[in-house]
Amino acid sequence: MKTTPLINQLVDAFKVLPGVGNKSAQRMAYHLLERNREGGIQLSQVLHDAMQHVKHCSQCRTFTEASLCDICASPTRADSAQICIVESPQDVLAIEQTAEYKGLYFVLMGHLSPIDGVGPAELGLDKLNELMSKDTVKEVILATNPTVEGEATAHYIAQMCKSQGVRATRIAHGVPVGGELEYIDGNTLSRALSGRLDV
Amino acid sequence: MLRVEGVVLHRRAYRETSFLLDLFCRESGKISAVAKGVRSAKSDRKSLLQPFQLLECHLYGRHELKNLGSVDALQPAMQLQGLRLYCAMYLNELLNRVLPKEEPCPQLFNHYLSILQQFRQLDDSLNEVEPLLREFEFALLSELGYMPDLCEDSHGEVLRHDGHYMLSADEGLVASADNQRSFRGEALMLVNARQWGPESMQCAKRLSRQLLAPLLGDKPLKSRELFAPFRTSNS
Repeated sequence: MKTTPLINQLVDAFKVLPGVGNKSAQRMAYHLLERNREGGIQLSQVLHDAMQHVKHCSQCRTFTEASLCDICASPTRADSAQICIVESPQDVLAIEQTAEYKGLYFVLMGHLSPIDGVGPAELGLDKLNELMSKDTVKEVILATNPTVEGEATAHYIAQMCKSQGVRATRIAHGVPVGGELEYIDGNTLSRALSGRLDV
Repeated sequence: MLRVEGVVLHRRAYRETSFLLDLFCRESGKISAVAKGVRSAKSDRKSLLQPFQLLECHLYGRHELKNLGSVDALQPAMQLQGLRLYCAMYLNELLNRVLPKEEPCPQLFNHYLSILQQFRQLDDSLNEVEPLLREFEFALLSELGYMPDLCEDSHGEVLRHDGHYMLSADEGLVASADNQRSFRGEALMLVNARQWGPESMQCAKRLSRQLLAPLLGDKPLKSRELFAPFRTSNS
């Protein structure tokens, strides 16, 4: 069956989504056309608005449509002594869900990976330096991923903290809660052993 | 199926749960492979598929891009930190940029592994790590056939202590007058003998920059930015 140019365009447009190939894109396009025109129109409007208006928070670089995100704007958090450094906005959500942390965030939007062309400037570390120079900040929590690049990033920021006289801490790495040692890979287990604590 | 010993130079996310890997292998040089399903929560291979750990990999497929089968660690992970970690990342970026694919270079591979081992015993100071970096760059350049003879000039005459030489891409070292771009004969001889002091280090660095420049094109190595804080704190 031949399709019209507009339908082809719609199918191609869906393919920008991660994990969506030709077949899924076709299914989505025909589903909206056949059964959910209203939903399709709403999707297009919201998608348009979000792409136009969502930008980075001027302080922590996470996504927001306001100039300051809710966390940075919150009066109880604005003067917090802690900044938690994470790689992506999804990491902020994950930490917020624990409800353990009440400080500020800084979102790097990536990690140091020179091989991919990402250096200190691309991560907005000059902005972080500015944020750290505030008198209220006493501790920087390095919550980058436990990958080689994440470690390099954590170490680089820890050096910046040192020159500013701010305490830098790294989140613990090791055995997942409820896990069994027997099934843990060797690298994780050796990290868990080298990072053991007094009880 | 191909069984190789190698290290990961670079990995990047591919599709939903896979990685695209660049491996540096002892027997087969630089190889690209897809590691399928590794990023899913259940897989424990993602901790292995990181730079600086010697692995045994099984690769499948006849195309240039292989499929990764099983992976085993041959050594514990190298837990490098600070300057030495940045230097190791620099080596990876360098290899990834200039090494051609599927060209076996076992000597260079062993050199690379031995440098990673030596990094573990060094301090975080540029004076300690820079000689290792220069020696590796020279080994890489000679592997690629770009390393000029540092014993004699383009006319086959032995270098003079008090002579000055310029680097020419086609001819190697050419005797020249003393100017900003020339190298002192004595410094070149020290570099050739791998005797490291302030002058020979400086000379080796300029030499290697000039020799690598045509291989790197107009895109400089990004890892050099990571060294900037160490430079200022040292001088």
